[in-house]
Amino acid sequence: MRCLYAQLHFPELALEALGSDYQITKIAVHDGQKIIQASEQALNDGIFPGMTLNMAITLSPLLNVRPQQPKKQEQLLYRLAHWAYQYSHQVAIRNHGLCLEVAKSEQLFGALPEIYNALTQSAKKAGRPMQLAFGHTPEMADIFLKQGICPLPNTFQKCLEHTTIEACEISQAHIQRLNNMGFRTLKDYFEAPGRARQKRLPRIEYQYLEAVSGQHSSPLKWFEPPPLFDQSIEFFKGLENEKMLRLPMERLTQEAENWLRKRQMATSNILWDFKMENGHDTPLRIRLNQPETHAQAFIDPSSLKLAHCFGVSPIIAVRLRIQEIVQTIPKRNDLFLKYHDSDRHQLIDRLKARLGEQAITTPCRIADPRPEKANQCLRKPQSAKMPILSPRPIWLIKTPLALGSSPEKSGYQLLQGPERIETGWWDSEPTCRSYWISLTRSDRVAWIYQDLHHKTWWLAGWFA
Amino acid sequence: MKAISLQSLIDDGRLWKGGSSPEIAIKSSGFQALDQSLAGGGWPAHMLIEILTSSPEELPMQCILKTWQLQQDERWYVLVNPPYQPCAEGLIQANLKPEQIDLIRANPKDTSWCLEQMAGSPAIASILAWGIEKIRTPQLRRLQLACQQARTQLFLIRPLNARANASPAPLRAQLHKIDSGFTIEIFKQPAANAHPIIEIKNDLEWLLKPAPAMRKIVTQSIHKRLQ
Repeated sequence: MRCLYAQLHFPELALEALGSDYQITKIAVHDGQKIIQASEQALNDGIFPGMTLNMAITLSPLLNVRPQQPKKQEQLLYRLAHWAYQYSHQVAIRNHGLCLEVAKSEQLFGALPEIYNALTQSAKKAGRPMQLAFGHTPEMADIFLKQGICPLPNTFQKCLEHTTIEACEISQAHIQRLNNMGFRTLKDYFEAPGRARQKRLPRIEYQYLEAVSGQHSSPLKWFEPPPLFDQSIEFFKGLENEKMLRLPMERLTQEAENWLRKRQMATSNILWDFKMENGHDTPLRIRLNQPETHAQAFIDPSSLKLAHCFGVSPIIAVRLRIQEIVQTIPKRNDLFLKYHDSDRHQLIDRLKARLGEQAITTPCRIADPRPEKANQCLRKPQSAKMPILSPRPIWLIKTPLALGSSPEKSGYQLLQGPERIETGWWDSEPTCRSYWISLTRSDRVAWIYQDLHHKTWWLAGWFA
Repeated sequence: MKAISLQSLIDDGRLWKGGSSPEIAIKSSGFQALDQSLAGGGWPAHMLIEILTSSPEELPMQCILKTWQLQQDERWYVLVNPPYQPCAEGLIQANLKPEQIDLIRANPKDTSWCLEQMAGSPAIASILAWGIEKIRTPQLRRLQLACQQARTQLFLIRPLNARANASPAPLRAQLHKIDSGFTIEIFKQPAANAHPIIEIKNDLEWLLKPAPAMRKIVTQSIHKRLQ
């Protein structure tokens, strides 16, 4: 199988690296002297790439002009490599863009047009402009990308033949030299005998043109996903409410989902960091009911807890980290199942995020002979084996109500009993009680007990 | 005068013809007399049911416990803001699975949101909710829609004065305490007319058969009351 590469170019990479909200900002990036990229709002003001810096500032005094930041561009490309990794197992950061090996991806995604559609639609969904071209070598893909065309393998040769020498990334002196020799297009060049071509150009330029023709390929350094997830998004204008933050958070959780899926891992613990304009950081840790992979499972509880993070200062950057991961447990796929476990876990996560950890409990039976200790409501269900017991009420009264020295005087008629519980000598809460089932004047069945030390009666619960 | 067709409302399930048999999923209430009065023969399985009572800490659980005992649903059951703490041993003896029951304590501000989340979750079978003093009609409508979409049953316990206000809940009933048990009046239900008030007696016969280790103290007068 012959290699196939896709070269991805992001025309607004320098802008996006500075802040993800560049599309709604009048901003341009310069290299010290000239404008290299301008946002749509800046373009509407007549700013265009190639314009001098002074001219741009004169033309649009309110223009936000920033120098390009190669380090931030590199970080963004690294984030984009994560995204591209779902389409190919071999992704490289090269030539201010990404290079993907797609020959093997055809088995998973279908023919090249389908891979093209998958990549472009995914980029479009993320609101990120992207250009793409295929080639047998990354250099061949570069040439097509430069011309703004995206041929398929059966037309690679034809398109190459029509490519002018000027389109190649070789120095102007060598272009001139080849032109003087009568080579106007790559077809002219490749028709010349191999030894003649080698003689007329230095080794590097010769090898580059051989790579363009698909005859030689330079080695690539493939991207390796890091062992932990740590990505962030920055903004030009500070975000002042939860609604504005929702979109970047969704983008980060989607990337976290892709990262987890690739590893067949899940996490129950994610950590957000919100960087404020005043320099403070606000961390927000989300603990889920069970390890999850889906972005939705992360975003729902995060959004509910987010209100606490907005203080006096707007948020200028959001960072998402995943430091604990566990192996994904395959889901039960039962045809007759009315719901999935994930439905319940996601519901519990949402409720916990809004109501607090303590708000959701389950009635549990603990192995203890004292009824008030045996029946507790706990956050994590547990159940001890139940011995044969006398009837127990449906409801327990958390703090028993005093009935005085005689239940009859309080209107409680004794019916069944006594159930003597004398225990708890091993801790500081020894119990010595006689429990009775009794009937109130209004025919309500109550569970009462007599404290045998103090000879007082107490209401402990109600039978429904 | 322009004639307006009601067919679209009937098709949407927002309007019922009185006396027709509705095609709704039901779950038996566990009381024969009550089942006969309920359209379809039981509590609607996927609807908002309003229970109005002046004894919220006593009657709703007496009324609902049997329907929960009869349901063989693998989904979860929820108690929202119950008046007391549920007793796991008592629930096991009543043939319920405590590990399948969630207990939720929500403050009044969050209760409506919390109910909507649960009513809209396919993982929940039935909810019994206290602590709703004031709720607006659009919120009730949202709860009803959530119940229909996720096939959830929601019993909402409300005070008696709520009866004076219209409600989008398809089924509304009033519970009243009497000496021998309670009465239930179903004053609104889908596809059925009003029924007379039903009297449900407390099942106290089990008290006459004490557990092996227990002594029975039942006087003649009590015996009469229990029977």
